[in-house]
Amino acid sequence: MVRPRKRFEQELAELDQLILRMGSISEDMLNRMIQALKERNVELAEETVRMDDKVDALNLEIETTCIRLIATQQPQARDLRRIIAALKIAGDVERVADYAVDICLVVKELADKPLFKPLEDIPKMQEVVKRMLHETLDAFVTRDLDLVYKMIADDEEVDTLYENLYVELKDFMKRDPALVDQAVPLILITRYLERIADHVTNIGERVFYVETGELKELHV
Amino acid sequence: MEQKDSYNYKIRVDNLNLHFAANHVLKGINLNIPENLITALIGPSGCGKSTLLKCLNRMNDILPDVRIKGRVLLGDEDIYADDVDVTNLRKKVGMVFQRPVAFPISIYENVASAPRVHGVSHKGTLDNIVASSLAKVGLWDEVADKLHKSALTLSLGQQQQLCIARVIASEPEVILLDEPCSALDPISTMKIEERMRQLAKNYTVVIVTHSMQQAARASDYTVFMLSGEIIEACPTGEMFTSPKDSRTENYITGRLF
Repeated sequence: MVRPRKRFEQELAELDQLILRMGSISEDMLNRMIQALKERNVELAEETVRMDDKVDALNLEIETTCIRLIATQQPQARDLRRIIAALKIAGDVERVADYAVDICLVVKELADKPLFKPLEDIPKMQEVVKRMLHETLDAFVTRDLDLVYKMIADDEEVDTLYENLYVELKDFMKRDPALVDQAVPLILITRYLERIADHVTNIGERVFYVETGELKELHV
Repeated sequence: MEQKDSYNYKIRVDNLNLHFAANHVLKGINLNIPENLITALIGPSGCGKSTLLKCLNRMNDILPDVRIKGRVLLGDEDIYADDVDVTNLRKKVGMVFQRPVAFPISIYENVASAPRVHGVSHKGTLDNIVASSLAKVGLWDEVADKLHKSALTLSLGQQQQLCIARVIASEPEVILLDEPCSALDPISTMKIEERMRQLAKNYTVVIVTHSMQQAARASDYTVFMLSGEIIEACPTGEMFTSPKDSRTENYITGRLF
């Protein structure tokens, strides 16, 4: 008995694999980026920046694959949602990796400056952001929407951490303007992490769309 | 028309011209057909795609008032050379037609008739050929217990699969399909397309189709013809995302009329 469209299904599965590979490189970049910050390790930051080329190449490969599948396979219903979602998810993952690069550039700038306070909240924020990305990619594979809801809840934690850090770092600068050179880069890092979390929620929304057919903003 | 790619070619058509009486139907066709892939010939009605397909196993020879010039190489052999045995050629290059041509005899005999013509008479050998050919087209499980019933008891989709099985029973190198799905429902169509995909692992497949969607979905390589000429030939993904010639673009986007 022939299973109709077996090959198309294989191609869709391969598309999923490309997304996962891209996601796991980005996750890896987030890990190295925070390690580079903690160790003030310029070499590691530069190495992480170079990983972005792989992410960009995968993004193009995914885009090309999606365009070809839409043009040749006349996808409908869930197949169509998967392809459109892959296209959008790849774009968001690519932005995640870009922000990891931006953070690495800040890490390089900070490398020769002493830290005026121990790094606590930024690594905490990075942990949550990384968990969010992981949960979302898991949801993409397992089709478990509970993971998406959990990720959305985590995003609120990121927002709170961001707001607190923003106020705290501003206060430092007000009290001692000499701290500006360190505090501004740290504010940038928190801002980039917060943006990464937003892109991850976009990814979650696409997973939600594939599974439910409903396009909507999930975060409040 | 220039083909820039890196395939192994099974068939090379070299400056082929065909006239029906006063009509110049194929005009200087040059085309290489990749081995073990699915090539689709597309184009508006009357563009010559079926005529070109039939040139690949000399099915046009029998028509009155036909003149064919040029060469068609199957591997290294020019199939239009004087010493070619046409029956043997059609064993190597089999053809499936638009309407399933199931003979009004048993399912078994429909498939066995092909190897019989080519001299196989041993019952055990024929049994094996029938079983493996039907298995290759995915029909075996459905017909194994009624091999001696009339082929006309099968659905149209099954009859078309049977016709493909009959072609396979001759152990061809190339399978030509002339609109094989146009009489079939969508599910049977998808089954035939998936079966073509399996067959392309071992055979070179050339399909003529009116359905651009089918060419897009099911083929690896697409050839667009217009008024007896080849306008463009390239990998299918390329043709349906960025065709080079504006006439191809107009045809596949439904703007050529």
